[in-house]
Amino acid sequence: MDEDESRALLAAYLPANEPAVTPVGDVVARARTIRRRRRTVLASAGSVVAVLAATAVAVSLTAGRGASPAPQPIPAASHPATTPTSQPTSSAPAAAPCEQENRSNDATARAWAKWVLGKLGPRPHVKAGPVDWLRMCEMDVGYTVFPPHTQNHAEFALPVLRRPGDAATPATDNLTAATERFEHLPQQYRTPCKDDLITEHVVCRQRKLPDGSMLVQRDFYDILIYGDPKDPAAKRDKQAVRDATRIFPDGRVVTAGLVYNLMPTWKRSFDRHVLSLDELAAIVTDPGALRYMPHR
Amino acid sequence: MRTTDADRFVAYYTARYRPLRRTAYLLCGDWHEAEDLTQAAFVRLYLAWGRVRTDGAHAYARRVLLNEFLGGRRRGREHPVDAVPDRPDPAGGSLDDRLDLCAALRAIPARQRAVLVLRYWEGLSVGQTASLLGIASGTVKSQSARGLEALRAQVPNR
Repeated sequence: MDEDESRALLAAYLPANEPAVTPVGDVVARARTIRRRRRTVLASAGSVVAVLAATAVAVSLTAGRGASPAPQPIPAASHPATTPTSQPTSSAPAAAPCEQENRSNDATARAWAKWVLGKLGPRPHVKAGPVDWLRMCEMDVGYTVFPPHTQNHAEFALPVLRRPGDAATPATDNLTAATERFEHLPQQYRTPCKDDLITEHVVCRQRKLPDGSMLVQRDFYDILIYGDPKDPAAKRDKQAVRDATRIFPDGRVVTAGLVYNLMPTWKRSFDRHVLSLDELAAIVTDPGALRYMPHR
Repeated sequence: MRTTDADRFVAYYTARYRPLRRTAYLLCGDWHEAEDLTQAAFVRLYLAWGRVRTDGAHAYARRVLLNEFLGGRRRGREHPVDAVPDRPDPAGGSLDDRLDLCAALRAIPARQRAVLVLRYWEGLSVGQTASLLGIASGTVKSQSARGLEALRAQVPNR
């Protein structure tokens, strides 16, 4: 049998009734969601908050083992966005230059995931996802620069809230919870309610807590851009993201954010998210979260 | 991704989605899984688009497809079912014929199937196939021969 015959033999296995081609927009949207999650994981800036920061859904918990950070003022939301991101906000000694990115299934990261799971209460059908400790070097993602940081990161899938008459759907609400240590605060944590190229806030509340940290609660549209973000003609899409973030002036962050896994049907709906803004805030402001800050 | 890159990606996607999905189908024997594999390949390709030259895009997508396929087998993601999930091709013979074909395809071990598809469907050389699968050239030759023999034996009428 020569190669042509062999190919013909294989071709005989292909049914003629081939399904339609998936629209390129669906695949691009999936890729962008993954990219945002990586940013969250990688850069994590406020993870969900940042990742999705762009998409921003992150709530960063504080750092170190329950110790309260020295209270330092955090710039208000009106702070000019041009503030250099490289300017350290912490008086701590500068960390060694970041030379290598790393990832591990760290014990503290696993404990963080378990702790977050406990905070979700007795909910049915919660599925635990990836858990990691990550170290990321400075990363320029175009619209902003994420400084070097480490992160304990946990993901969960929860069934979305259904309305009467909704058909059964495999949709889940994906919760990303992270504790992070930034070498210095990323710009978007200084001006957390500021819209940018890929973030359109619907609700954004920020308030200072007694220990000097700032709590930010947001419902926002993560804007997916198919093409150059600066090109006004590029096709855009939106999905609804909800997050809460606790930001410490010394670079520690605790975040928790929700984003639907199913697109595009659910992308514009905030009312099916399984946790409210206050419930997310309760997770990130719980002092217990600070026990799970990532090691450097 | 810049606009020009996005345009290139869309053009590539339009041209290559179906062929790649057919390759995926031949690997897995199921349109649903083929769809998953192909989407995974294009998602990865999109994420790497800035680094992948146009002329290397297909090799990249094919490698991702293959890794996803073989990795899924290693992770036990394959769930054989009694019924064939796809509707029979009305122009392609009877349901029994289609069942025979699918059964024959599935009966061949995944890696051997991959050798057959890469060699004879994708038209790769023995060396390219060996390199892609991380196996020796001699193994490619022997797996090809055995795979073809198995196909012919299971579908004698074809």
